[in-house]
Amino acid sequence: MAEIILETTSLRRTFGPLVAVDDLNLTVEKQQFYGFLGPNGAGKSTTIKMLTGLLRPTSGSIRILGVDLEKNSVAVKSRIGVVPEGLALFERLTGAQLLNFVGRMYGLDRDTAATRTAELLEFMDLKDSADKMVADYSHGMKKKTALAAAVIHGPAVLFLDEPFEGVDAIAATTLKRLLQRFISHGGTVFLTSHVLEVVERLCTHIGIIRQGRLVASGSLEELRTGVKVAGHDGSPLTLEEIFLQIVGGQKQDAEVISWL
Amino acid sequence: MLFLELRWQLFRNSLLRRNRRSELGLQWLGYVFTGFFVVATSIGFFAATYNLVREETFILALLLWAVFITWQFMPVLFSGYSPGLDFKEVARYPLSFRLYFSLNAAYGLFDPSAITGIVWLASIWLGILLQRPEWAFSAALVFLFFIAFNVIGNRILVGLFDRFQSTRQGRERVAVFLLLMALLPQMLQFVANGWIDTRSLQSHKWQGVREVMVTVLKVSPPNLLSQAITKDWAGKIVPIAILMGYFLAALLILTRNLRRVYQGEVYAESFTVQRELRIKPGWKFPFLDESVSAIVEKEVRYMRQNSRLLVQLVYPVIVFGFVAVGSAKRVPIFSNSGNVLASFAGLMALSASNLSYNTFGMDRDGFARWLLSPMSLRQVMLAKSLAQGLIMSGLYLVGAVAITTLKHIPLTAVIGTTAGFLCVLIVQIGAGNVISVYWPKKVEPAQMSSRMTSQAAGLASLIVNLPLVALIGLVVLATWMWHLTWLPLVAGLVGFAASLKLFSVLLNWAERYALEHLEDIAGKLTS
Repeated sequence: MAEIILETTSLRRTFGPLVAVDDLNLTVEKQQFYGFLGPNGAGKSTTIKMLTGLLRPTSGSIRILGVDLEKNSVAVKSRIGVVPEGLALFERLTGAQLLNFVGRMYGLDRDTAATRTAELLEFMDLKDSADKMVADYSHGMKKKTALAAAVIHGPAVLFLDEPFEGVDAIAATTLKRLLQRFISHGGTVFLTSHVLEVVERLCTHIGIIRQGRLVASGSLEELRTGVKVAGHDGSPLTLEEIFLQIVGGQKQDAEVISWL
Repeated sequence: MLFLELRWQLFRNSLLRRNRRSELGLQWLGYVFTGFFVVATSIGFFAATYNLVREETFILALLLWAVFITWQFMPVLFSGYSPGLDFKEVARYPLSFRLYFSLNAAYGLFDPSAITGIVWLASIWLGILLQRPEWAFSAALVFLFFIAFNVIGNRILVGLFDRFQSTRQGRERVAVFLLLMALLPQMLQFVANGWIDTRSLQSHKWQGVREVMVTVLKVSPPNLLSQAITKDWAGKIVPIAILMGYFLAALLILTRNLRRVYQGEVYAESFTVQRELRIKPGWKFPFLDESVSAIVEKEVRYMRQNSRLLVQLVYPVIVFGFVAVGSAKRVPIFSNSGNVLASFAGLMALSASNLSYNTFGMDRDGFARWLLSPMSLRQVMLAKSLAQGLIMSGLYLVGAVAITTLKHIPLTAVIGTTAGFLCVLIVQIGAGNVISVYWPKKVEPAQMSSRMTSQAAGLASLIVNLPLVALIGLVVLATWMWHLTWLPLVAGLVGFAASLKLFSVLLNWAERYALEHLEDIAGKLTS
């Protein structure tokens, strides 16, 4: 039986009358690359914020690495790495200063933090911009910096909220390399994304959320066998086809914009 | 017409942006006062011209200087407070260069400062018409020229301003420059009051500088315009020729600058390539663990880069130095050297609010990093408080050493004052933690309109400072009335101990509130 890294029980979050996440029961095992998908406003970001301590659940529980997040948040946070939606970077530090700072925040001694900072900047191809303020970085550079900040302390689990959004192909390749390396060294990744092609290539397991509820969860093969598409030619279903079948919502083109 | 409509829409949108009725009301009040100001000053311009121009022709040059400076520099100042249309964006539409140039100039003509300048010129012209009708015709022509010249000159300045603003560093430097410009009138007031000694400027060694300044003034546009109005026809030739030269030069510069933008020049950040990557280990502070040392280092780095905050912290110290140590007129309160140190200590302790009343404001999106880190929010706030305390104590130490070197102050007074300073500082920082979570505000360092603390924090500071000032006042009064020379020392030491306890209570309060309102705080600080 594989080790359970992440487990949620009846997780719920409301914002006034709006139920953003409802009765979410998730299980992620060690060394899984878990892709969490859903249409806009489905509750993906809300879920990942709860899992990383940025948002308190209205009810329900979260256990990460066997530890209750609410009761032992500091212990949990020391073993996870997060790239949140807004990246959470101190933009008035240089890239090198930021990584050094984050490393020391996670308890690394000064020399180790400095060494890992240099290695990560090299790996992320940020060496030439190490002494520039993060505020002056491009979006892709900021994403790479955020990911470097998430891994500098050697976490066991990574939580990534839309890591490939707004990132060019070269930066995306760097991110994928790092994530695959992380998994191969025993890590676990939980990410949300809209980029289905990337999720299909990287992820071993997928969860699909719709209107705050988990409507599908499992490996890609499990999802394929669970979904039938009428008139399909029999070739393996793409993730996009699975996704659209599960969440629905493909509209017929109406005759608007007739002048285009 | 399209641009007039655009200006009107920008104005309306600036009102719609306000999310609180009180702020909308204040803004309307501001516009009403501005309107009254323009009307009142126009009457003043007319009255000055009507009453004085017959005897003193130099008054005309003075009034034209006022119009010139306002017209040229106010739009730049307001651009820092509320940016309007970015003309770089207009260039992407299918416009000829001639049209693009005309639109740029026309946009400048409808600036509030341009409208104000035109109204003032009309007032001056009316005064001339009634008092010196023989000048009215030449004044009308000259003023029309002056309007065109100011429009062109202002568009050049605004373009230059935009160029500086295109990089983050440029934006922040401009913000600091504008802040210093805004402080200039206060320095001039100190000179006028005799608190800053300027007698040395009249000595012989400055004569060369004075002569150059007089020559420059003679050929400045407002002075030349005044000569073009008041002199006879023969005397007008040289001033008009020089003015035409200025106008042509301005036209050429504006044409060149606009053509560059029209052809697609993009102001951009430039990258420098680093030769070798050398990562220095972070700072280590004695008796502090790595995490806390890292936070203190980060806070000090942030403060060093925040030029506006540095100006706000250092400016009062500079003014205090002029007033207390170098004043031409003696300020009675500073006749006692102990009062000099005590006043400085009070000034520094109260200045701490600039640093501590919005402790997360500069973090912005980075606020979420505190929530992700394996540290409690209490630990984070404690580390930030420590950094603020160290910075303010360092500034106090530098000033105190300077003052005690220049003036003899008894040791008991130094110890008592220092203890009192630390007491007030600790209370300020403690209160700052509470205020920072109750009224957090995202700070935009490059934008002049972005305050360092929220308006509510400013009001809350009264609640914090009034009791402190009252307590200190009681101690001072008691010392003076009953000659209790030991009282300041004892009060300072007792106050220091009490302030530590109060700090702890306030920190607990701030943490509790923050944990219950995390989303609200994060929402106000992040984009």
